[in-house]
Amino acid sequence: MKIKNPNLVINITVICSIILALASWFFSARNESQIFWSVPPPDLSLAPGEAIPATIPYGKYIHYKDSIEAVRYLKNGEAGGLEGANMNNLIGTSFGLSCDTCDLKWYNANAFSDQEHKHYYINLSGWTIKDKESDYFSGNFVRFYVKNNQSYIHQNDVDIPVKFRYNHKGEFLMIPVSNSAKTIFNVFLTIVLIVLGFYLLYVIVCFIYFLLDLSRGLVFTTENLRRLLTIAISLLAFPILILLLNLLIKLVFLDYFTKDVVLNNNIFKDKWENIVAGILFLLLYKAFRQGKKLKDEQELTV
Amino acid sequence: MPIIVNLDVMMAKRKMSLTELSERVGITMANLSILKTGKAKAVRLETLEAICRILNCQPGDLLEYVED
Repeated sequence: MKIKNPNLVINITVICSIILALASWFFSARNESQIFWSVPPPDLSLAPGEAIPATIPYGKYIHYKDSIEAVRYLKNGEAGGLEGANMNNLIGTSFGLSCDTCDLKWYNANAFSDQEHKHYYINLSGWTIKDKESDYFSGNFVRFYVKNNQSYIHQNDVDIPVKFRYNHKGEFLMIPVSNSAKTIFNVFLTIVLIVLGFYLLYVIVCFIYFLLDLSRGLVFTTENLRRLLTIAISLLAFPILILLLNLLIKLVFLDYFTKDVVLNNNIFKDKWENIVAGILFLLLYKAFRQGKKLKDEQELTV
Repeated sequence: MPIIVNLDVMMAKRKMSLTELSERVGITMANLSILKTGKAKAVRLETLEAICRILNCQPGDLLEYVED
């Protein structure tokens, strides 16, 4: 099939790529914000030992359920939010209010002003507590909870004190740190994120210039080869880098890790897309390299 | 590459400049320069034929095989 107007095809491809990239960024950002805890629901908390009334509308039941969950978050130090720079599936920082005796009424009144119960954490998004679903029936599953400001892992009817905190909603580990340590770490992480952001921008610019060069008829050029290789290596290296950095994080925080802490499978959930795209770009690079070789030979034929 | 192009030798023997040869053979100076400096990857038979005709020589006078 002969394409009548290749420039138009290239322009449509560029516009579609940009729209797809923006849409994927928008939706991934929305999903990400849903993973973490939100502000607790309106105060419907029950008195200690009080059960949820049996005859209430379903919507109110959900509110009660959420309230109980929110109080549990408060006890476990999870009632808070992300703070500063965060790298998805890797590392970030957050704060949480930790209070054994506080209820939702207290939370709603003091959440934004209280400093006494405020704790700071480094989130290890790539690490989670081992979840043995098959062991739920035997009661052998691993459970995390906080009592008197001390965190425990409960397994086989034994409470093992641990140094880390755990976020049940996001399913990741949290390492308690001081405010100053969190600030210093945030500065470091911000610098890393800025560098990574610029690199991501460079890869996107490489792709756009590659398409623009194709539309100009500059196909088998050294520049295009370099761009394709950069994109392919970046896409393939990203999942490997995430894995290696998570292992490095384990080494750094080895004191906090127990045998029940495992790598979160979710970090590889959407990485196959990167790998497939990386392999496609690598194949494209091989084809273009062969094309460049043939073009050079043709140009040097007298 | 073990193939040596002796175009400059033949041009000197025939006292012909690169400009004149390119005009008479009908190929560009740039392509002739590529051939003369040994950068060429391939030579078309029609180019070889035209050069041989103008320089009044054999292909063997222009190309030589030397072991690396």
